[in-house]
Amino acid sequence: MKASTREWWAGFWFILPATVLFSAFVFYPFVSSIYYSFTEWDSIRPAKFIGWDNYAFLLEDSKMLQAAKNTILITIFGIVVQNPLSLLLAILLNRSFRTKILLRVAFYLPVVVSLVVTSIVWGHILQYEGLLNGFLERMGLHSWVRDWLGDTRSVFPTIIALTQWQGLGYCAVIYLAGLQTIPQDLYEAAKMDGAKAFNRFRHVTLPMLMPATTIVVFMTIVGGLKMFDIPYIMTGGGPGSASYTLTLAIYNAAFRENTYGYAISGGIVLMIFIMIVTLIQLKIMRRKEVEI
Amino acid sequence: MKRKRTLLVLASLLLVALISACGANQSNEPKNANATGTTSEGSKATPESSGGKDESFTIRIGTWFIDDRPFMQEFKTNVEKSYKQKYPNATIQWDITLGDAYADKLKAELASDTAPDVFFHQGKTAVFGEVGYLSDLSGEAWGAKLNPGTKSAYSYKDTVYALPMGIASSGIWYNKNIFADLGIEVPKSWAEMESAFEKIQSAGITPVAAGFKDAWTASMTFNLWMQPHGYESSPTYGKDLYEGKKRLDGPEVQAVMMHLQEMVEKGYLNKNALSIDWPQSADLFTSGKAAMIAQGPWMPGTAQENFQTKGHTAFELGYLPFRTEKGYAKLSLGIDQSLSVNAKTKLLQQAKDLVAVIASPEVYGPFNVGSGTVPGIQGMQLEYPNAALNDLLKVVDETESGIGYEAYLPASAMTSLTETFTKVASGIKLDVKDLTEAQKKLEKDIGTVILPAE
Repeated sequence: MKASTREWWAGFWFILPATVLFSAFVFYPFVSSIYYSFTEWDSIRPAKFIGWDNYAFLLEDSKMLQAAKNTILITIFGIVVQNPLSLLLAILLNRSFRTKILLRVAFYLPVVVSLVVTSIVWGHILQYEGLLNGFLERMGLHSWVRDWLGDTRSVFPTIIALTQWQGLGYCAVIYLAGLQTIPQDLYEAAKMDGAKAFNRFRHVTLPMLMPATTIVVFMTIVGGLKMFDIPYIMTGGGPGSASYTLTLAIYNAAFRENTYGYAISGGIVLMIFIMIVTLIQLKIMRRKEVEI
Repeated sequence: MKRKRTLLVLASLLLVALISACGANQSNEPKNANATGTTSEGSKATPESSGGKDESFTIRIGTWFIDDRPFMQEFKTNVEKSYKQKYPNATIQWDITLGDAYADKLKAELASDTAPDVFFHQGKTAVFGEVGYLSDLSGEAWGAKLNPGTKSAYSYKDTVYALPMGIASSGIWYNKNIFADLGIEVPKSWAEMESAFEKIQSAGITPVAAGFKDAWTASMTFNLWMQPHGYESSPTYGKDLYEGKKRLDGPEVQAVMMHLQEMVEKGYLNKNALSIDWPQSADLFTSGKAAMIAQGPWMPGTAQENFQTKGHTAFELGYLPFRTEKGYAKLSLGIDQSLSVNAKTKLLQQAKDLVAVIASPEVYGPFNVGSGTVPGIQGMQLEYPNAALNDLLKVVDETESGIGYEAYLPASAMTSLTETFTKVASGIKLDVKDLTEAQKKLEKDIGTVILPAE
């Protein structure tokens, strides 16, 4: 056998296990799910082909539309609020002070602690007889007292606040790592040129942090669009459909309502949406990185 | 090089073997069984065993509800003890997955031929029967004694596929002491119920405890409320919805939602109704802070437990059904657990014998007493030690009852209705568009409904 043939066979055998596993657990389910999205299927009886009906109903389903609106809101909040806040936090934690390590741990803790645990703790804080309402009562803010997770007006802002709190530490750590890679001589050179603190931040810190910003924005977008666990544990999407996110609505369509074909069509639309948004975001951010 | 190639081939073979092992049926064949028709081909072959009674085998039983409650543990012990008498060398393997995950796991196991030999399920007799997942149990001795009122839970196209474990009726449990102290008679119409709410509230007690964080409690309360409103308007209300003669945005559903809205506006529900779960709402009730609760037949047992473990002052519980303005009541009878035999089990006779053991009075009886349910097998006289359960059984005897209207609806429409119910419970006024949304879901997913046997 020629050396090149032997090499070909060796390569073949090496990639075979991964190919088999990938085909069985990723490729085949993905391709078949495209087919199932055009069917009425309860996962027990044979699927019935119904054409584009599932996709058409996605646009009529007020719960899905509400879920899409909530998902976009969470994502926008992530970019507009969590992103600058985590940068600010990273800048503060990058300074030298005595409790620096302690504070870094404290802000990162929500990322490490199980989400189920934090959700249960927050559930106790936010319930009607919980700590938050107790605090508001003592402050004399009686009109603010409410069932935070049981009131359609307050439930989604509360969920947004929790997602921001939960993700803040993680994004801050990425920014912190970015800040520590900026060479000090750049700041010194800027200082010698007479640049003030704001100008140093504007013309040195921000441009040098662009790779970290790309990662944070990317993760915030994907994390926001995929938001599932916090509303699932804390509210189940309710009251009504006030705190549904797209992934939670898709999950319920499949596992609670047994409309798997419809759920898959929602999943495919979400996948395409995430792909488009992240591709645009990456293209813009990479261009900025190059310009800078 | 040769050695390397051999190693690679071996590694690949191992991988293939691993993958095929993953898909293999985990049922254990009897070690000395004289199996006939041993392999299952597609869904048609049904292997049987005619092995001797001293054979050694492990039989799997799948369930989601066997928890630490004493009567559940007693049930488990009774099953094992009685089965040992028939098969001394048999081992019962209890595949217990508590909660909602069980139903999804069971579906996946049935689809991959790895389901337990015998398994419990909820409301799936027709759909599992249709696709051939269940063994025909028509010839079993207990099959001839089943209560015809539970036909939809045990049969599909006149073939018996399941043993209904007991007939449950949920309703409103009330604190008899509070009612007596405030001079309240058992309400016989919605107007009387409202006046009871008013009196209870004036006494500084929450009229009704609700724990709608658990979606099933909201759904159960709504369905219990809908049952008399729907069937008062038509004796075939459920079927009418299915056939499009009635609508989910019609006056029946609107009436129930408006009653709820009124209750919320007047503060008849606990303020945290949407953020507490059912055990927390049960605590509210058993601690005497609330006078009523809409729950299942397990409520008296839970109350007893709370009186003993949480230091709540014991009181006598009473039971009453939901009624309409005119005082009409119709109970919804439900089967919480049905027991079936896997069509692909390699231990068919042993599995049927296990079901027969569970259907025997010494196992089935105490289970029903503990669950507070009426036996689905006729002719079984049971004594319920809890006075509240006797109260429930009396009401069940005296009141019109039938299959729940929701059996005619797709799950998506039910979810939509429950969401509207919780929305109204949160203080938002009813928007009929939300009910139209439920109607749209009904029309879209009507094909997923299998009409219940009548």
